[in-house]
Amino acid sequence: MMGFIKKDLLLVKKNLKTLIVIAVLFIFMAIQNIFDLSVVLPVMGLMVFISTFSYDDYNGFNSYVVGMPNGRKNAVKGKYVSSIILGVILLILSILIFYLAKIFNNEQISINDIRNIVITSYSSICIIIAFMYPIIYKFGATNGRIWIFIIVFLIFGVFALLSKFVNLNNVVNLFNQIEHCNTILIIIISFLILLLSYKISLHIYKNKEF
Amino acid sequence: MNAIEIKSIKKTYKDFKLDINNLKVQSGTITGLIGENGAGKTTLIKSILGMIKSNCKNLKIFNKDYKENENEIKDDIGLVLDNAFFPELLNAKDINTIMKGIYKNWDEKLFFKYLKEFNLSCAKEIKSLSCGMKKKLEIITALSHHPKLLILDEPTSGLDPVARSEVLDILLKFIKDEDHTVLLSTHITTDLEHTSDQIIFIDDGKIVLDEQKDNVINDYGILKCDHSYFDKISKNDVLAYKKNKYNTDVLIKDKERLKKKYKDVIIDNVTLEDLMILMIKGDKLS
Repeated sequence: MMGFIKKDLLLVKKNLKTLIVIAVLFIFMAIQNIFDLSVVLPVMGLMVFISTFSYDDYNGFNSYVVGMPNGRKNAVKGKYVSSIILGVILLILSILIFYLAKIFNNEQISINDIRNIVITSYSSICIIIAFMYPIIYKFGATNGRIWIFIIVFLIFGVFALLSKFVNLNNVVNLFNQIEHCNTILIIIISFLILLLSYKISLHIYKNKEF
Repeated sequence: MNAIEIKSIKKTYKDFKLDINNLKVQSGTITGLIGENGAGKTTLIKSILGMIKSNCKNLKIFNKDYKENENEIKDDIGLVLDNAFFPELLNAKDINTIMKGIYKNWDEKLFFKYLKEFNLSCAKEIKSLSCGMKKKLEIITALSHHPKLLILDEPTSGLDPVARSEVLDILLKFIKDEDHTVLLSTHITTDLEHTSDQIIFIDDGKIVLDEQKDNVINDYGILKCDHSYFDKISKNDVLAYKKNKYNTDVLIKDKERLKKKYKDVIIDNVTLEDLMILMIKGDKLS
């Protein structure tokens, strides 16, 4: 599996320029006290990571993987682990930027602020990965993006439709309350969602023909 | 010993059916899998490796059941596929870093030795390599975990004669070790004439010929005669024929016997290309 993790992280490294641009933008936002955007860096980093699926598809790497020992399983596992590694690195970077921005603005830093960044970033990364990867594995990198767009559009459409008949404030409040939940609980739930997503992706990939 | 042994392998698409029975690739040989484009060579390789789902019975590699020992077997297989390799942003150095974490027998020293031997840059991205250099890198990568079996799908397709010769030289060096086996799929039959030991000819998803190459070259021939003489030839002696403007080319087997039987005509040696063309495009008498 280590080989696959290294491959994906090396590909991300080749796109380092994009990540640096995002980081610079994030620093600017952090200095401007736009705290709610603390999740931007890890999430945008993840979007850069998703391009690794396109490279694999374009160069027929998936066929090549099947010929390797434990190829299918390790390739999927590698994608999940390497994207989490990237997410954690960017999360640490986010906290660091946030910390420096606070110093720059002569403001106090509370543990609660950092905890909020960790929770929102970590759960966002896990949910995005959990949602997107099985779709990409099922439909491929190019068609997968279209399906992701369709599914997100449908979800918003359903919510918009439901909001006309039902009061959805409770649902919205539920999401707003996430920051006040038990940190360990959120981490465990996010991890379980990710694990379920990994199992689905592995099932799809193991049955895929190349 | 057989490096690959398959009792039967079947794969059906809407417009194509692969139906292979009793395929054996002898250990220590270069076996050429020939056939025109779309004959089923790649489908067969993909079926063996599990890239596509197929109805496969008794697939054994190195005398081991493939399903039960898949990962152990894959450690001993080197692969060069058509249009399937690492993402093009990576370079040879990256490939080494990655492969170290995939194959337990990955030999870093050997990989860099090969790179030096074939004048391949460590730092150049795959996308900036020429077609021949890329193919050499693919073969070097396949060889650097000490595989016993090398499976190559169209390794010389699109290469100039010099690059093709270099690629074939690599294979000949590899096969010097008697434990090593090569299964080489190609539609460029001239590549196999000086390198292969066994020829498996696939047409329309079926094996139509499976023989030692020397037997093919020695036994088969092309009888060249005019149209009137063609009618005198026994039907049983004609495998396939092609009527040209002034003469007829007849594919025959048991060349030496037929040379004595048909003394008035020329019987030429057959090349694999002639054999393939006549068997695919030639007419049959029955």
